[in-house]
Amino acid sequence: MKFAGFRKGRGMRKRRKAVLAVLFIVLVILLNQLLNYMLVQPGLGRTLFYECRNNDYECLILGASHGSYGLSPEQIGEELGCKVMNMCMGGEYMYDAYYILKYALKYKKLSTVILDIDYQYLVNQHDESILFNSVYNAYPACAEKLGYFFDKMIWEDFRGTFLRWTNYWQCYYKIGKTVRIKQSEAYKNYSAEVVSMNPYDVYMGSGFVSRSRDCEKSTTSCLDWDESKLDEEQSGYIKKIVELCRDNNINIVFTAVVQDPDTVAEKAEGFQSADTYIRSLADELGVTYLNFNMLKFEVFDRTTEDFYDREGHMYGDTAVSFSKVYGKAVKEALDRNFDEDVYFNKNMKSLYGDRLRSS
Amino acid sequence: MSFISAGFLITIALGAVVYYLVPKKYQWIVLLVMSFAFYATYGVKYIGYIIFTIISSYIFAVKMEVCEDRAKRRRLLIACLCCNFGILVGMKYINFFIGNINALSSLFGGGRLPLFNIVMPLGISFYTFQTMSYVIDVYQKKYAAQKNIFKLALFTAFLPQLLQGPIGRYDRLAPQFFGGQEFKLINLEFGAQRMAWGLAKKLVLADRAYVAANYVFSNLQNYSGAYIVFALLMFSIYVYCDFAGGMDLVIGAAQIFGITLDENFRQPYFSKSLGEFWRRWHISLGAWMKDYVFYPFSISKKMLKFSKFAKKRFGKTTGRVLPICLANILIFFIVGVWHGASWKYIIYGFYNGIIIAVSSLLKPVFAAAARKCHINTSSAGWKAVSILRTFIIVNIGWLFDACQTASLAFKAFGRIFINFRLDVLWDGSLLNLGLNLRDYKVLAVAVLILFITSVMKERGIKLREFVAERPVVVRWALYIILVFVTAPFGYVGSTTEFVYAQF
Repeated sequence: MKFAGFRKGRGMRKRRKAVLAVLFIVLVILLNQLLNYMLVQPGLGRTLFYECRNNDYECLILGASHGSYGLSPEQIGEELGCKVMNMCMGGEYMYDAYYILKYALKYKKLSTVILDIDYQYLVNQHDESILFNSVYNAYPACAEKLGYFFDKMIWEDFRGTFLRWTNYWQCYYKIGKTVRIKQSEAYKNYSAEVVSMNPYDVYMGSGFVSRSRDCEKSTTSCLDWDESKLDEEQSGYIKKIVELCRDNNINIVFTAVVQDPDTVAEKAEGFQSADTYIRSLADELGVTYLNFNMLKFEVFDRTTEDFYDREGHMYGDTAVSFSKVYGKAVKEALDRNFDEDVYFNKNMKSLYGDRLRSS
Repeated sequence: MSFISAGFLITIALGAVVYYLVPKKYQWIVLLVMSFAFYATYGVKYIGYIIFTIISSYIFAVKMEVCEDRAKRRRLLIACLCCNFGILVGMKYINFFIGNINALSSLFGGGRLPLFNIVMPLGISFYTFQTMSYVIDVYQKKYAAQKNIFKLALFTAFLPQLLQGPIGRYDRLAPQFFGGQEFKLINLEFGAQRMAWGLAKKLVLADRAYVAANYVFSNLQNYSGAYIVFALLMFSIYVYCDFAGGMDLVIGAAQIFGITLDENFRQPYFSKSLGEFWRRWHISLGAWMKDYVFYPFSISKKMLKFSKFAKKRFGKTTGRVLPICLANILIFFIVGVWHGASWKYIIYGFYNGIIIAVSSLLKPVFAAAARKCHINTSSAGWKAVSILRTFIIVNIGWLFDACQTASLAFKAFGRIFINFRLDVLWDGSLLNLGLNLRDYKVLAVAVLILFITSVMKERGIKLREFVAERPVVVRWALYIILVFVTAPFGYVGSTTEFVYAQF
């Protein structure tokens, strides 16, 4: 009896320890969730995914911040003759775009996908904080997200993956405001009102952010094209995006949104090399590639004053007028009656010659 | 996949769950699969090299065991060592040799040999040394050869230690791998605790200190005097916290599986001599060198003959010390070469070897001088002076590690004495080295915590046991602080791999 009692006691102690361990893990998870709730700031991505799920559209645009500020779905839709959703987000890499497409396909029957390729994302693995995974964090919980996690997040720093709040901990002074926002009706209705955006930005809906000309010009410039830094994984995901479109009978077009002409002139050689690389990839995949940095000035006149930074993000009014040209060109490409000579110059140097000479 | 990636933590957590769910006799298979799966994430192409090491070691060890002929056994051992160290030397040093041949050839107007485009398999130095220790031990009949090649594969490629050590020994690891481990909560608690501590060292201290050190040593032409001393101190924090933090992570992860790995650090910056420093720093490499290079070399026929000659020629004491000095210089030359294919590492090795050799030779002179000056060498003051002296010597050595080339290291040393102004330490100049005021504050507090815990350990206070004995609430609070404080106070801005994982 004594022996049995001893065993029973030992077993109970073990069980108690195991329960304590589980309790500790649960406590850590709860604390982590609480910190996420109190510190993580609501972003526009959450609204975008809501619209991606609920809006009515047939054409989906994927890309990064150039697309977000430069492509108005309304104008493009008018040219294409269908509704458009712009899912371009700052920090959207090709793997992010691939999973956004997968998510959109869960809810929508698409006829066209436009993949806007900013070459910087092919040669730069992280342009912002290594802990900032904006697209993944905004991605709604679903089966696709699990695949996304194992494809991408598993390789990332554990802080960005498991402890999202670490990227926002300096917002501790806003905890009260953040909690109030998260409890508001606007937040629950996925409104963009609750997102703290640049005061000169207006969210126009369907993924388009319009920046006012009152906003002071920033000096940020774009990264140089460096072929040695090419991330093969990104081109792998471009191929996967094309395959996914083909499997779902969706037309796909690659584009590059026009950028500040002075920057393009200054870095003409790099832009030309990036164009060669992306064009060869597009040819290999049998996809049309429209690089709007080759756009003739008589088709779309632009100066450095039309962009709020040297990297090539447009002001809202420029974006609206550019989107018309963009939509028309994409439409012609989809209809297979696109005449390249009407829109584009073949060579960066001849297109930006005057600027090159002056710089 | 990096050790600070989510994937590593998931691998360890899932691995541990499966490990404790399967019957004990199959646990080692879980570790084997986990180890190879993780290694494959660095590139399947690397697996070929480690498999070669496993197969060759297996075959040669089994053959040596059944072979009675001593000469033949010796030939087998040499063949195995040549194959494996050959790959290591080939991969690591071939371009170094070619570079030097080209440099020589260019002096005489000769042509240039092309360099090879070699991508080094990760952890090759560690697993080669570890597996060769097994082969040598089998040759010396210390234990029987492993008959199951997959078990040998686990010994070679055990995940946590595969990339950056500690260099383990078969006789200590095999019983733990293959004997089966019972689930013990304490292993889980201590393992996770140690991992969190390692992550804190790496993310809060090492990654932050690296920024300032790298800033100065990459732009050496712009800095001199106190800047270089400061950068050197930062480098000293970086290299210790990076390697020791990595070790905490490795040892903690292994402990979760009930496997106790050898310690690799014992508060090295508290050493009173350079020799002691090397007995406290990268202990497993030092022990490997001692067992497989130092002793065989010291007791070789030629060295015994040399010892006799030296005793006759220089007297009993010097004659006894001289062969040891030579063995030390040889060991540190190998340690230098082990660190990398570059002259700076070779010079670094000699720097350490020669200082240790000279201090051994001059020991009686130092003792006599201390007696004459009435210095009590066992006093606390003298100990502090010795620690400071050793710290300075160690830091001068770090210059070779911190600078790109040996010539830059000499240049950096020279620049310490140019325009030495202490006011740069407080006039705000340090804020131009890539770190802001908050970074320096975090660094200062973290260094202080590390110093206090190191002093406690040095005094034999077992911190982890001390914490484990506290009430649950206190323990949990401490663990939560460790987990939740490391994350926001860890440095963000660059992803630096563990430096020793690149060897």
